[in-house]
Amino acid sequence: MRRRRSPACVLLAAVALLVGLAGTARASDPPTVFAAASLTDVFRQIDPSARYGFAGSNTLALQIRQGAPADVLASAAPNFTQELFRDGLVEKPRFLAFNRLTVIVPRGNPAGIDSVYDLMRSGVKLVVANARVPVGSYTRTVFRNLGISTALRNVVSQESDVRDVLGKVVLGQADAGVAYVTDARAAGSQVTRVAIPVFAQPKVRYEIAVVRASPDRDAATAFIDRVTGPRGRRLMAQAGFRFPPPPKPARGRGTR
Amino acid sequence: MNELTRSAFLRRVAAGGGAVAAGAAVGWMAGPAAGAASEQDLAWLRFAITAEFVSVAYYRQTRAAGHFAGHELRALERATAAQVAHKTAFRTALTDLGEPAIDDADLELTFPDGAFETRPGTLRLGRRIEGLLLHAYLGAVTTIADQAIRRLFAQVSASEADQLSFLTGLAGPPIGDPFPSVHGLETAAEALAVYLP
Repeated sequence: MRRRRSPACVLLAAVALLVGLAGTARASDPPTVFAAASLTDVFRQIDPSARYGFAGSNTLALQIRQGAPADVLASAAPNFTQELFRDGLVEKPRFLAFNRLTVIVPRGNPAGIDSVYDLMRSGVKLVVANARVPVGSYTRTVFRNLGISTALRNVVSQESDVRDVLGKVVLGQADAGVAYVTDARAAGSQVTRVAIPVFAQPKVRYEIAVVRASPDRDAATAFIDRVTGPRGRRLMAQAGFRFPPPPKPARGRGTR
Repeated sequence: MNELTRSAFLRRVAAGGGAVAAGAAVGWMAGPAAGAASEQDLAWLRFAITAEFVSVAYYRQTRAAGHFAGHELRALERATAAQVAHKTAFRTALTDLGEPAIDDADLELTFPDGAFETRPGTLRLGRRIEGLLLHAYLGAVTTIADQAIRRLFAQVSASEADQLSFLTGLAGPPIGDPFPSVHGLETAAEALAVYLP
């Protein structure tokens, strides 16, 4: 049941995205935004008029390297934006938000997964993202941080982005999956969350950047200002994204 | 642990300060050569750093709550220093093994509403937290593969038992359970999650 997308499949998907968006990124048009799949709902909520390509951040970064006509890239892992910045393909990335991971189980929890440690149980069907996509890499970090990497033996399917993981769990094709908290929230009552201890959480940091080749950098910058501005942050926080706590007041007497 | 990393650890302890930290450093250094740390050992270290973070926050809020003065307040200051030293020692053990640190900035915590409003309530919470740390670290001692890390947990367990006894003594006789519970990582993590939303 293990599924891997073939390179031809990925190429076809990339070409389809390119064809779909080609020639659309002209000045005065709404910006074309390539964004991590986990941003699907909240970005559409913040700016319904933008054109979006949602996928795994690794796929989107590759497409930008290949010249896809994007104005903005929002990645679920800073390494992709930073590498593109280093190579002169995007402008200096800006912090967008933090996120956390959670285990998700289908409604009714048929396999009785009550703890993340239950993922090690023999016979549990687990779905995760592949290691190249940020959520897949973070999942492996979580398992390692918890000392439960052996749970990877229970993986029955590796997906290309977090929304595919969510879909498999919602459909009951797996007993459990690992997704972002924000995706689990977006799925509502279709899934149940099983918390991952905070000490095992990786630092899931999203970054956003203007693509250097963008024909309309003003529109791109305006989009980024929208999603990082007060309304954008409020909507992202409502969706479960996290932001650094406000600066602490000066310490008073009696504390150290 | 090789000599270079031990030196690095000592430098950090010196920078971090405190006699308790130095004591912890000596204990950490005195262990036999490390290198056998398992994934589970590292998970225990991450847990311990987070647990000490909760504990340090508890002592700080307790001192600020105004229910204690004089020698009790001074003892609470020493307890805070001990918890900071534990956290430093666990963090150093983790980073010396080439693992990324857990920063306080990555952690948020919450205590039950009104937990510090009265002296008995404050002490009840403290005993719960210290008990959690003690039971967890005893669990760590029984499962950790690396001898140096196990030794560190054993030392800190003794220190936590001291502090649990101190808090118990502030509320009544300081004699506790003759056989404290031993928690596995799963149970300990679940108990700690109450303070970490």
